[in-house]
Amino acid sequence: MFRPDYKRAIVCRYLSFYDPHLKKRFRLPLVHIRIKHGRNTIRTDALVDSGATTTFIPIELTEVLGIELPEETSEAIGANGSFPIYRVKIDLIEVLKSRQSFCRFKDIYASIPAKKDSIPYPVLGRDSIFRSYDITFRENREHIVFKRPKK
Amino acid sequence: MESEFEYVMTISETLEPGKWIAVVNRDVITGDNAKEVFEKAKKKYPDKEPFIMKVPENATMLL
Repeated sequence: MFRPDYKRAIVCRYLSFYDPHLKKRFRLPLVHIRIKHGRNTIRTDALVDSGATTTFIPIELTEVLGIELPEETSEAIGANGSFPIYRVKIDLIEVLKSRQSFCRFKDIYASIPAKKDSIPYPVLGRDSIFRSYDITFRENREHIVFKRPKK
Repeated sequence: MESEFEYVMTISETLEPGKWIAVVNRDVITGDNAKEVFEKAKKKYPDKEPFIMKVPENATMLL
């Protein structure tokens, strides 16, 4: 069983998928997370993305979690230009290794793209896990290393 | 005991791109949207916390 040792590095393997159009395998730095909001909890995967300034959650998952969305949207900038988002405070996001949490974010603000299919999975941006860990993407070894920064 | 995420790692290349899945233990429930697969999984395993995800479909992406 995995027991988190907060002084040591935590290593998470990439996930590998198959693109039927390009007929090739591709790998993504996805990690296991738990999202809790109100009485509802789900576990899902999330992309670790240093290019994102904030944490994103697909609107499809807010339906599952029963998250109430505000009436007003704001704008975020993505690869295709600006798109509308809702800003929502989430009770808890935990990052897991096996079934054990090694990183927790309470009352974290997340951006929810207003349109379905805008993003395929949650994105952990620089406002969350990057503040708690120094993160190395070891592309050739197909894993991510999370290390507590030295103080 | 392996987590559902770890199990998905072992089968991820065989999953149908673009579909949503809910996984409890080693049981994979497939569907077209997140709510559908979550509700099916909760109906079948009311006391379990399902792992749900959308299977990525494009190797080329910029979010």
